[in-house]
Amino acid sequence: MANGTIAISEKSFFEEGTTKKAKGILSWLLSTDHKRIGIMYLFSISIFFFTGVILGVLMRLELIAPGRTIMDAQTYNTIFTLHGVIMIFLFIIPGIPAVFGNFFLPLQLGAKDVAFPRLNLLSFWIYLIGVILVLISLFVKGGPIDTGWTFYMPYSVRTTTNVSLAIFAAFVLGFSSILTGLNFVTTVHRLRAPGMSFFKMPLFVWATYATAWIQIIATPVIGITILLVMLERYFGVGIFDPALGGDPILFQHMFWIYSHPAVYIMILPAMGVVSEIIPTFARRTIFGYRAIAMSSLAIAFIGYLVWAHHMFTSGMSDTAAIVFSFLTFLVALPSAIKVFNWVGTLYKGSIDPQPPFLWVMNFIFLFTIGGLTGLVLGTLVTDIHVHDTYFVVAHFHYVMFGGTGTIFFAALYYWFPKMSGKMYNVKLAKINAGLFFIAFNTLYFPKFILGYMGMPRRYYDYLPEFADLQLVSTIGSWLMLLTVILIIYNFVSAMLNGPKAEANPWGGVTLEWHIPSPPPLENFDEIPTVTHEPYDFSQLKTMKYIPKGESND
Amino acid sequence: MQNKIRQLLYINIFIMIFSFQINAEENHIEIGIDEKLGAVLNGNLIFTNSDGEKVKLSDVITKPTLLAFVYYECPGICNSTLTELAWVVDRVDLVPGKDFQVLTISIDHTETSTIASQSKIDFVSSLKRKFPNTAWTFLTSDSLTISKVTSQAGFYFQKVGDEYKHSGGLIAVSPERKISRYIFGSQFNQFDVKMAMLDAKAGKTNPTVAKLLQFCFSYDPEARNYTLNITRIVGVIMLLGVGIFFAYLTILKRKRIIHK
Repeated sequence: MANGTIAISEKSFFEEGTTKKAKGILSWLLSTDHKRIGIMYLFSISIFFFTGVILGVLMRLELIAPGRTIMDAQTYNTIFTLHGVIMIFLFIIPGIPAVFGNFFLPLQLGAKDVAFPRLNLLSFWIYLIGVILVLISLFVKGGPIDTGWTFYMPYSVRTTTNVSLAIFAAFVLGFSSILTGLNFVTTVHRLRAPGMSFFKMPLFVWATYATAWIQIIATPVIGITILLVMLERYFGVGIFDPALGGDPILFQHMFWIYSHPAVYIMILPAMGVVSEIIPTFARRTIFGYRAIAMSSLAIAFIGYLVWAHHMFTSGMSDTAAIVFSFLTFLVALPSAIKVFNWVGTLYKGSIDPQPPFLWVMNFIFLFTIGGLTGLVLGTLVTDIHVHDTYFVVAHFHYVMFGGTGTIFFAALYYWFPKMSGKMYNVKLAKINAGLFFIAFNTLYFPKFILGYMGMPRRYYDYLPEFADLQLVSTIGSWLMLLTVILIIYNFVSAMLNGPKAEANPWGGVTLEWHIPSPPPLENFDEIPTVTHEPYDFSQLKTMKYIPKGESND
Repeated sequence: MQNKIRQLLYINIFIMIFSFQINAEENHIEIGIDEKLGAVLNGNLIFTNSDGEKVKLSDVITKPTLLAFVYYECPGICNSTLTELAWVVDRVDLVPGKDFQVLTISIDHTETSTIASQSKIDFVSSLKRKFPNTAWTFLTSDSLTISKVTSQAGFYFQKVGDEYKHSGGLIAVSPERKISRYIFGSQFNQFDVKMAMLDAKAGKTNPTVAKLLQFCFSYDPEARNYTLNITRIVGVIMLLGVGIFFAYLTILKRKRIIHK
């Protein structure tokens, strides 16, 4: 991709920080280096992901049989709320942009850092403050929040649990998201290496760019909504609670005006990662580059106009429902454009099924199921039957976990050698991908059937006829826990005493593969000049770093 | 603090109970105003103006009109209603006779055009601004016409002894005689009146400033007044900010960063 980019630096960013005085952990916490910030996000986000998994396993354990099993109903309510809040606000929204966006956006653009490194550190700190507020809300008087992650009115005004503190935490986390978005947009506009026009940017950059705009525009809406809820709780101003003269439907609108675009904040960067991994392991330039780039922007745009499909049964005019249903169907178009182009890229490619690729295959399978069942929910008639049932739960776990979660792992398997300079156990990683597939479908597929049969979501107890499938699902949750533990084990042991990784183990050609692993503090000794298309594999021959087994002549 | 909140709560409850009682009465309303938004007043009704001429209502209402039902020799609230009306039309930021006009219709069928004419002299002469004589019309009519026009407007009154019991308020009527707003109370805000007149005019061209006003304020039928549409304003400010940011990034040439 670039000519004459030979980075010579003895020290990696692990050994050399941006702070001169600070040592040890402070040299990380005060670092403005985008790579260190990315790693810190990875570390904290992984902890929350694991916490969320444990909470999920506890929920499944409670549901293994009808009636009380291991906890009472109130505890169950708080646990499913925390599972949602942690997974959504602390893991999946910041997940890919904050970890991989931070680490790889400047690398792929050929920049030394993001546009505003200090703002970047501030975003991380704000994220931490948000996290601390969530933690405090668990332990102070009143007890942990029990409203569900959607904080629906009027319950969230009337419950005595610590709603205000928990949603204020979401407010703070929102700021972190907005600042990261601003930073990324500016970085893409201002810090592209010479020769890198918009249509020579890697597709992960395109996806992150589209996401950043959603973060900037949509997040303030949830901020305002949260402030209004607090105003209502503290001062009894009637905004959403009908008893005070407010309108609970208004809350749902305002909540989903943010939270639906937020779904695309979660999934778009994941799609960007897929567009990176597929060409690398098919050794073929991406099929339909512009179509994929533009479909990211199209998803970001249409994603704003579909929020009310969460509210088909909440009470709104039939005309509105039909319009929102139609717009929802429109989102399927750019999503399908991406999937077809990925498959088109694989056609006649020379496919190398390494772990990142296998995870992407998991993604395509699971995300397709998630996407197609989304159409069932977007259709007015069928939605009325399955609304607020396990069908919805299964759908969004296929999209969010099967989509974004799977790609979070794929990205980690793809870029871990670059980030750490160490290699994980490839064989275990491949087994993990298969195990994940089995665990995932055992855990979530029964929920589609349960939902269709009429099992309502969020319920603590259920009728005996649902017991068998609930049991299957719970067994799936144990398999999933095992998979997650194995994944963590693989990475931690690689970090501690894994073999040294090659600088370009997969034969990638985007700019991050032109520099050593782990990258030096300022990434590039000299800012590269871009001459190739982003996925032009002919340049592999002339690159400094190529995989073992591929000769340089 | 807690005491204050409790006090506020009691006041709230009191108001709620009280307003329920009013609502209960409105089902078989005898005296008061029952909103008939969107109703069209019959243009063929014949009235007598202050010059003693017979006029059709459709000839009188040709522009946005501020309509008040009163009677001119009223010892009660109509006098203050009229005084307040005069106060507000004196100040409202619209050109009388062009952007709007005022129309008072007597609900007392015994009143004659002479009385109306005296009343017109009293109130129009009290105005400080330049006010065309034709921009404020004082009408009288027979009891049947009066009862028709008032019931079309949802204005209900009763004669008790020598006096009429009725409530105060203004009605905004469009040039097509359609009722577009009610402004309640005995004191009027020039801003409310301006907004009501602009609304009545809607469909025709409005000055830009007026459009902006209509964009930022919307009518809340529950509270019966104009409220600042905060979500709209915030939304526009945000999109503008984002637009400027995007324009800045794309239009302004990027400076080459000099690397050491």
